[in-house]
Amino acid sequence: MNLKAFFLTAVSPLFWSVILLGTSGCAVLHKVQLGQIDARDDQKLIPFEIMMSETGVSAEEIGAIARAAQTNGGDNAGNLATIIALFQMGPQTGNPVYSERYAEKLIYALYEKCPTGRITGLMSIRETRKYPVISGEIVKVTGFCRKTAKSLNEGTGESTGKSNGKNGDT
Amino acid sequence: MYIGKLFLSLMAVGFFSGCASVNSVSLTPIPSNRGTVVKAEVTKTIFLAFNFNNDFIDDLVTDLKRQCPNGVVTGILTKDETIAYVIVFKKRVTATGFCNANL
Repeated sequence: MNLKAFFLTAVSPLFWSVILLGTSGCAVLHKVQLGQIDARDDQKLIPFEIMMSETGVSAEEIGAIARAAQTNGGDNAGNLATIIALFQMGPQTGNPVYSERYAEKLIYALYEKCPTGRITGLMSIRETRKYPVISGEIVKVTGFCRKTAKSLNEGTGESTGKSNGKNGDT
Repeated sequence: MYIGKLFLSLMAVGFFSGCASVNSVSLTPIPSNRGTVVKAEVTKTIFLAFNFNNDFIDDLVTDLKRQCPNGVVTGILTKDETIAYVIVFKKRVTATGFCNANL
C-alpha cells in the first residue's frame, strides 16, 4: 500500500467507524437482580457502585480467525480451538474466564463502601463487554448506603442510629 | 391474490410479534402488608446487537423509590427478558413490588 492509499484509508469515515466499533465493545446484559428499597427519609442515601471483572476468551472466535488465515498453521490452531471449545460447552453467561472466583471479594468491597452495613436498593448486574476474541466479564453492584446526618458530618460512615434489624437493611 | 394477502399478513404478524425469552427472575421476601403495588419497567431496543452500555436499567431503583416516597419497597419481583424481532431485539427489565410505609 502506497502512502496516498494509506492516507485515504486513514481519513475515510468507514475506516474510523470500523475502528470505533472494534474498540468500543458491545455490552450484553445477562442478569439483573434487585433488592429491597428503603426510601424512608430518616437517613441520607449515599449511592455507590462496585464493579468486578475478569477477562474472558472465546476459543470459538480464535478458531474462526485462525481458519480465516487459510494456512496449515491456521487450520491446526482452528482445530485446537474447536477441541478446547468442546470442553467449554454448556449453559454459561459470557465467555469462559481463567478464575471463576473473581467476584468473591464483592462482600468486602461492599463493606468498604458502606461500613455501617445499612445498604438498600442493591442492584446486582451481570454483564459482558464484548470485544473481538476477548471480553470483559463484569459483575456490577449498585446501591445506596444509609447514613445518619451525624455520621455524614463526621465522615466516619458509622451510623449512630439504633439498628433493630427491622429497618429495611438488605 | 387472497393467498398473497394472507402471506403478507402472516409476514407482518411474524415481523411485529417478537419471541420472548426470560433471562432471569428474582424475588425478595414478601411482606404481610401487600396493599400498594408499585411497578417500574425499563426497555431498550437494540439493532443488530449494537449495544454499547446497559445504563438503561439504572432508572429502575429511582422509579420505584419515586413511587414509594418515605416507604419501603419489598417483595420485589425482578424479571429480565428479551423480545426478539427480525434483526432487532428489545431488552425489558420489570420490577414489581409492594410499597409499605409502616415498616
